[in-house]
Amino acid sequence: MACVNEPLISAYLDGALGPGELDVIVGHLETCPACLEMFHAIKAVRAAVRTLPGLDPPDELVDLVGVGAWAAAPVRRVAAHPGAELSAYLDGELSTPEAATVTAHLATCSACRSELQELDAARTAIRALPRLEAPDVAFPVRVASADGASVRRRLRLRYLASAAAVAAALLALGVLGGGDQPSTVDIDRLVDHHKARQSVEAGFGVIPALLPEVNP
Amino acid sequence: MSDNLTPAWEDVARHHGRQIYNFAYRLTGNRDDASDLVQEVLLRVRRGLASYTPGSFEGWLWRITRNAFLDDVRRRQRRPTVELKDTERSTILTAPSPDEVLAHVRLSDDVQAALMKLPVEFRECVVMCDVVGLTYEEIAHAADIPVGTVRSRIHRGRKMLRELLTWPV
Repeated sequence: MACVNEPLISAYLDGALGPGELDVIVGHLETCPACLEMFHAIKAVRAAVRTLPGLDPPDELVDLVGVGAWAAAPVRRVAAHPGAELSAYLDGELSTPEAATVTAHLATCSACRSELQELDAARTAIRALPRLEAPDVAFPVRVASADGASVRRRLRLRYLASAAAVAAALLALGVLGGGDQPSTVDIDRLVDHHKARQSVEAGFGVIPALLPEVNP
Repeated sequence: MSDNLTPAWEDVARHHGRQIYNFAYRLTGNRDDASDLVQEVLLRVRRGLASYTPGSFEGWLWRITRNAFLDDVRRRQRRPTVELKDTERSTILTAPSPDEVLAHVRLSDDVQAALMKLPVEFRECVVMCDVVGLTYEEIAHAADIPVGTVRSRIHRGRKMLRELLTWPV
């Protein structure tokens, strides 16, 4: 029997929930392993359909209609800068027309290209982080209190909302270099990870062509 | 395209033809049926523009496209269909290696095959959302159903796709 909140998962991924429902599903995903598993499965299905290649209409059809060449897919939701959509772009989760809009924008905007590069580096770093065992020591009482729980929940909300927030958090913690502690990330390994992923993940092929250069 | 003007059908063909074709292909699963559907949609657009009142042009266009598809489905239910195989020509932005092309085409064939197994009402909602990029409100308008129904059809459609596609670990 499926969980009552499970039907919210697709609308959550599509940004089609109201504020009340958003709170429900974000809180629920923290406590329901079945829904969390479904969330990841639906996310993968959604990305698979969204990254289906855009098809060229057959020449015979274009000739038959007889109005000359057909323009590229129309640009929807023209945004000055894609901003938060860059994460979805990296993850291959934008629809074909949306992705084309972002690609076109990136070709002309160096600020967004830099932002994309930073976002990608942060994501690579996060994925390359070693798995950590939970410490044996008991958590401080404050964390277990209701107050602590709500703080953690807000942090989780942010995490789910934007990979950029995670990148910012990592920067703040000094994981990406800087800060008082030495960086624990090997840059060469990071670039290797990027290249390895690029060869297997749909949607990554467009990035190197747009970026001036990737660190050798 | 401005919502305040009635466009010429030639402009609709030029500017939306490619998107209508992709919508049609993902719904019908082959080039010939998709081409027939595009022609039918453009004919209906040409006829319909005479009585079109400026408003949400996209909503109007996708409603026509969707209705043309459903009429075609109803006609087909009276005769058996033969699934045609053809090769997709994708719009490639960079030049990936032949292996990458092959892997992507095989994967997209699997996804397309799974889409074709969805009941029509689920398939159209998933395609309008994930291929065309319409919002739930726009899909509700095009399919003439409540937004809540759109939501549940998209979710149930994706769950069916999940069952149909086996994901590598």
